[in-house]
Amino acid sequence: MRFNNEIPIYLQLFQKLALDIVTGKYLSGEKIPSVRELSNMYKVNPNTVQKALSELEEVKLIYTERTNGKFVTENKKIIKDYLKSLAKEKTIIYINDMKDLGYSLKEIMEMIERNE
Amino acid sequence: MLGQVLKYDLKAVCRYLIPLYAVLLGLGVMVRLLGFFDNISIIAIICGLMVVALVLVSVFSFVLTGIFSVKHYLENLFKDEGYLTHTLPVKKETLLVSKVLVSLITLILTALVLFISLLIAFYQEGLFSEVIKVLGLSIYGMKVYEFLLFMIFYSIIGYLTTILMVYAAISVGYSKSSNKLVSSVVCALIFYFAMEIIYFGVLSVIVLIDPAFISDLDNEVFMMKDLISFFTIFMVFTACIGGVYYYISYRYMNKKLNLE
Amino acid sequence: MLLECRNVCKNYGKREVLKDVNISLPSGKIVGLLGKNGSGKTTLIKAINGLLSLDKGEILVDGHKIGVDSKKVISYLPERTYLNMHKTVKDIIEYFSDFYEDFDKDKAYKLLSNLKIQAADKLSIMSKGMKEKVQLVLVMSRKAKLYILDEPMGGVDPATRDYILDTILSNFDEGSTILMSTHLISDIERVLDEVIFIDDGKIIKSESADKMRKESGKSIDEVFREEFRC
Repeated sequence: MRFNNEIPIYLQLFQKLALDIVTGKYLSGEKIPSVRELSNMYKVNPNTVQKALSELEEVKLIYTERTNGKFVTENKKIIKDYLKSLAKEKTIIYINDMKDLGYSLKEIMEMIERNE
Repeated sequence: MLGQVLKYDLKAVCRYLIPLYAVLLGLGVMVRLLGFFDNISIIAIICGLMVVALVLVSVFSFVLTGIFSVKHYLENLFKDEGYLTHTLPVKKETLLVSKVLVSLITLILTALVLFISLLIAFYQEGLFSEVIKVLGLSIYGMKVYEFLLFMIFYSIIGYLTTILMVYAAISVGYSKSSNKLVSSVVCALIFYFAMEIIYFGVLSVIVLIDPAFISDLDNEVFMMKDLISFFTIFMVFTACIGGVYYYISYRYMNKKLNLE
Repeated sequence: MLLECRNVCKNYGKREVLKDVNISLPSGKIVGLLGKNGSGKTTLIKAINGLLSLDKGEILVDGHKIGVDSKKVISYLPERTYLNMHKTVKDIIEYFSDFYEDFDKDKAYKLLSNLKIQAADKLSIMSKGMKEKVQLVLVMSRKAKLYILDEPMGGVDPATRDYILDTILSNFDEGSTILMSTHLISDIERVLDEVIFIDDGKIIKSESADKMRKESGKSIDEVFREEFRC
């Protein structure tokens, strides 16, 4: 994974891991790799991994089992909601971009349907 | 830790010394072997050349031994290798004591190898008793072994003080921010002349206290004992000066280190 | 604090190389000491390692003044090769394990075999890049509290840079701190927790890398270039 040096690395790692969870790369209830493993995997500072994980914990996508490590939440609703909020965010960005290009909402809808 | 430091210091200096020792012993063996055939004129000439070479190498062997000690001191403590040496968890004192011990040990080694080499080349039956007889004749009032021990001790002190003078000069010179080598040479010259002045002072004091001393020395049948007491005073002073050089080396390495 | 520099001043003759430097670093961080060539990075690092005497100020490492106790806990990679060229890899590993109690011989051999370096290999026949890797392996095979790496990626090819950064990261554990100097910021900035900008012997900035990115919306490299534009 390539990081963008202009944005805090932990935020990028947080987004990447959140995406992995909502798209099912890590399943609900599954143990996620340790800090050291993730640090090796993404070639980043373990402190950065730690920070990304605590952000994930903040939004309740993962939880800590005291000695066993960190697990993806078993509450599927949280995962679904997070996926929805991501989808919503992307849609808003897309619509805003299209509007900037001069398309109306109706035209955008037509375009999407025709492409399918 | 001294043991560890000494081990690596000795290894490093022996890398230079082994070729010297090989040459010394090699020449000794050659002189002895060729000596068996000295009825053939060409071999006799070669043998003569070998003897000259052996004498030359013998004369310079102590100088070379000193140079190797100094070279190692400079490279190990004040050049790139110093980055490693000075970041070891070892006291500066230990580093310095090890360097002094190395120069002492290599001096003794060189003396031994030289002795063996000369024996190989020139030993004949009765050599030792002859030497002892000649020595005994020239040292009234003293036993031969006493005299030899004294001379060995005196040489060692003199050698170590000279080496320490160079160590101290390097430590001071290399604490400067630039022109480190030039500063070291200047410093060595200053030390040398200071030492000469001190010796002159000591001699003057002795003459002032006991004016008969010098005239005793001029006396053709002076007693070796008097000469010895004279040299003993010098030996003590030399040792004291060596101590001062040790302190200067230590002080500058400990407080004024300035690696390039 | 693991490392504290208080009012550190150093002059070379009349030139002031360090001007009242104050730094304090906790455990568990990877810190970048960033500055142009000749900004005083190497001088500061040498002072922390006891290779230079200070003209003013004080340096404490893990509470100890610079000396045997500070050297026990610092693992230092200088910007030059200090390896005695007549030695073999095995000799130098023995040397390190003789002097450093925290040196892990097995780890060193393992890391070296990953590089396809044999114990009997002589240092004199190695390329510059290879020697730098060997030195890095030696330094990272200690279990020190403070790792100080002076220009660990200076003058090596990009593939070697990746190897070096990986080795540093995979051997970093959260109980220790790594202080590394460099002028190649973009290569290493993603691993840094904290950055210290040094220029003309003075500390200009000292803060968290993410904070700097958030506040400026730029990479550390860009912030650095703007700060020190000629």
